[in-house]
Amino acid sequence: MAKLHPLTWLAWLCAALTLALLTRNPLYLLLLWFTLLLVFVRLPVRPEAVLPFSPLMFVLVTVPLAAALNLLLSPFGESVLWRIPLWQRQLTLESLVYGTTNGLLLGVLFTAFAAFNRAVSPPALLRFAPRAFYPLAVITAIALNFVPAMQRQLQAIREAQAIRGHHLRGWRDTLPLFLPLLVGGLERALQLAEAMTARGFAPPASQRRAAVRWLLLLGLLFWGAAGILALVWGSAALWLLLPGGALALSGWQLAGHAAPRTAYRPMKFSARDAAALVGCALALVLFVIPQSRATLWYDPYPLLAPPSFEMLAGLGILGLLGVGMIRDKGLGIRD
Amino acid sequence: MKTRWAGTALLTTSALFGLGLFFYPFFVPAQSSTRLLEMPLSLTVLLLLCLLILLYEAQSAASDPRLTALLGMLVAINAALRFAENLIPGPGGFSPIFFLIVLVGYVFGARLGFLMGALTLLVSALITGGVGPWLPGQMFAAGWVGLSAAALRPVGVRLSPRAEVWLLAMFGALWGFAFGALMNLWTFPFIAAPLQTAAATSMVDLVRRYAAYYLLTSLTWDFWRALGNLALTLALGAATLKALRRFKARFIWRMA
Repeated sequence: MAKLHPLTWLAWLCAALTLALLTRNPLYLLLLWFTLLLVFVRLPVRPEAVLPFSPLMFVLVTVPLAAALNLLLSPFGESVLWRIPLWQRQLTLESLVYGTTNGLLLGVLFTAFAAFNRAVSPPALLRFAPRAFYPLAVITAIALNFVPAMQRQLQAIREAQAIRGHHLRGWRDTLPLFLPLLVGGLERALQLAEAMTARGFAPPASQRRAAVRWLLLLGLLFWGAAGILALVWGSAALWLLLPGGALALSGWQLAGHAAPRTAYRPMKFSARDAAALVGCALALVLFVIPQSRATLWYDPYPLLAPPSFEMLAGLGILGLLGVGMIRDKGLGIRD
Repeated sequence: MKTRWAGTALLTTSALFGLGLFFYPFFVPAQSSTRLLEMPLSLTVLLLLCLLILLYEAQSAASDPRLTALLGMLVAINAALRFAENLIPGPGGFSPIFFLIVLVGYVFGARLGFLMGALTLLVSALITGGVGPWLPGQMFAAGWVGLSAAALRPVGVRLSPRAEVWLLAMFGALWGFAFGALMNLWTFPFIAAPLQTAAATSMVDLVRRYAAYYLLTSLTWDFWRALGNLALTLALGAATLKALRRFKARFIWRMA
């Protein structure tokens, strides 16, 4: 698989999530899951990002669980499979299908993130943290770099305490292990702070902080209004999210100006990235055109009927394979 | 003064608004099916934006090299604890991270407490490749654990050291259940609550259904988390509080 820019992968993830959350049609969800699974298996394994269970295992557990729970909790639907006399409940085929669809949706979301986690390493992602979040990115970078050191220190403390005859029998016995780790870590933080100060580390200037705060507060008020009005008018009121988003973005833009930054060996978009992005855009466009839109929703209630399938929407989903189809000598992302 | 007021207003509004967003499955109105599809997507984006606003505001508390280093190291310690399963083993949903989040929020205040909670979850997700759609919700809920712990300070400092630790332990235990209940709301619409479909349900029915869903899937799991938080705070709380307070005096000082 080709080396792609982390932002291309981010765009791919956003496109996959948008498609997943825009539909409840099981046929589209199944196709989407297979597409994402194909991308996932073609990516090289990152040893530090091995999930406790694979996307396939996740779906094999989640789909039956969601189906069983909905079958038990939702008595709606006309195709009765079984009546439970003691509980005075009926189990219906419609609730079974609805639960299966919901489980599949969770599986799609999980698989999209699993592929993204495999493709993009944390340092590569951290390089693209917005400038407004510079202090946060520094804290995260410090934490990411010191976790292995803390694990080594913990091991060293355990060995030192074991030599002194310490045995771990209950939770109270963790104090001689935890406290040296905490105190040692905080002492190290003091040394780090001195080193940062000596090297001229300074927080972003705060002259515009008041303006940024007001912009963000206004944005929040718009979102709050959208949420409340959505209860009355339905999701049509959610268009109010856009001005709120614009206000918040301009606030962060303003905050970003206070944290000028240069990048060491900046990464550039290549033709491969462009091709992958076209695939994502195509997927989104073909999914929301009127012909496809009419088939996105599927409701098995009250009487089960087969879901409809629009070829263009199906082709759109395959556009997400763009990231996986581009061949190159290297693997994964550019570091 | 105005800037400080705006900062507090921003922190409070975004924290409460974000918390309210968790409860959207109970409030989604009945409407046409194609419109309904936009709701989960819009609300997920909204929660993420709300989290970003909170993080932006909270990071102003760490705009000093000392506090930046302190927070980075505390998050590293907490993330390391999460992986040290052999050190503090526990069944079910037990996780050793919440106890330190509560204590940091209690000692260092709401902003640093929020960052401690949110970043612990972010860093451990980045390390293990566990970034997923649940992450903004987890970061928000864990951030709330640290943020709300600061509210205990006016009461806690008046108590005896033993009672203070008990207060924090009970608070941690409460969050053991509340964290699970909040996070369950994320999966609830997908697994056990058809959003208002043709078989539309009332809010009371949705709450009842959620209670059944929680009892079936999470109560036992969360019980171990709550018990773990309680036991860890009782076992390590007094010594940890003492250490954190000693270092607070060394990290947070101003030129006279």
